[in-house]
Amino acid sequence: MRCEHAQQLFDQYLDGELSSALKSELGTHLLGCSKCRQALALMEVTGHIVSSDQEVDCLDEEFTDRLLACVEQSGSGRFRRLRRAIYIGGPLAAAAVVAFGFLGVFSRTDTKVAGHKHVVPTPMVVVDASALPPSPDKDMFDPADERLERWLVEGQEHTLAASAEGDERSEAFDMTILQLIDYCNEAMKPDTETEPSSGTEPARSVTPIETPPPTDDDVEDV
Amino acid sequence: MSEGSGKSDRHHEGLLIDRIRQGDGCAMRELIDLHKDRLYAFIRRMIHNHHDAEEICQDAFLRAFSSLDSFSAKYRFSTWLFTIGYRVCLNWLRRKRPMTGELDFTTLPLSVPDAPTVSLESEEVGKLKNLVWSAVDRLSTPQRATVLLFYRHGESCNGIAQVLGLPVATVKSHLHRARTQLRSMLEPVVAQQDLTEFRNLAG
Repeated sequence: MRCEHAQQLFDQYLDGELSSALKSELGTHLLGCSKCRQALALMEVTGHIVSSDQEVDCLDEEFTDRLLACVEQSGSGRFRRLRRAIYIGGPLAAAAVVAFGFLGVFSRTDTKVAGHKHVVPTPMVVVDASALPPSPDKDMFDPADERLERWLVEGQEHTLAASAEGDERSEAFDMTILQLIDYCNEAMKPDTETEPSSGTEPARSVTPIETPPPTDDDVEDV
Repeated sequence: MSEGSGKSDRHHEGLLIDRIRQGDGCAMRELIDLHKDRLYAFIRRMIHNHHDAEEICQDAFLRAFSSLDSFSAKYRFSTWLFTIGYRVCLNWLRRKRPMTGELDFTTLPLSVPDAPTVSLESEEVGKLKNLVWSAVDRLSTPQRATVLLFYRHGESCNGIAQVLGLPVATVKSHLHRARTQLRSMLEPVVAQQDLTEFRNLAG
């Protein structure tokens, strides 16, 4: 068998499709031809590396949760009932989103929910403000204050209860979070009676000091 | 996705799909978890970017679920899912760069990339692995997909033909040409090395 013929059989040999007779004939050729032996070994090793090498990356654990959330947002009629299955299957995840949303308010001055893209839906249901927990006092915003923790829990319970009502309250669920965030931001604004508020910087109180105007001798080197 | 999937696996898969069609979220979660890692592994090797591969993987699942009514039970769900994933990959690759057909490997020098080698292995084995993957990355898109599906996912030529939407003869031609090109790229680099050590990898 010549090298050209032997190399034409490599594919069939690698795929396990070579007849016994041809396999024997190829084996005899390889015993006496180092070039073909090296070429076939290289192809075998290449195939083994491709088939058995470990993966460079892998999906994170939350991939399935994110995918299911996307399916829900797709709005397909068939998957509307998935909402209940998702919330039943992931109540901790839903509570965590709410909790992080509240915590995000206290650590940031903007209205973005920390760590999550917040899609603002068109409000279809106006939530009765009187049904919400009372707006917290300014002095509650001490992370060590126990009243803060109780207010967070009340807020979570209210929003989770809203979401459990079903599809028709889903917009209220989103609006509740937004309104609670607005309440928090309003409560964190400085008191206008004691501190004049401005657009970006707090206004400085200027106490007039009766001093003589500076002379040339008083100019300091900068 | 290998040919070894038993009848029980196909039956269970069919039950999951029926439940998903009725809006069962738990069944959808189970089906995702059954296939997500293999699909991601294939896409990841195709486009070499973790975040894009994750996004394509998600897109493939969304498309599969949105058109679940058109899925026929005579196929495996994995084959159908991989078909969708491959097409999304092609769209992504076309957006990133124009399709130029097969690469002219004779003009592309093959060098050892800086990718980290696997621990607990000799340095030479690690270098060879990096060379092999570098050569695989230089194959044309359909050839690379054929090699990955054949070697890494244990798919038959018939199964690959379904995923890629090609005749079986074309798939075999892709596989043959891919092997030839891989050999041509790697032979000059490993010509002086004794492959005895590496053949131990083949068991």
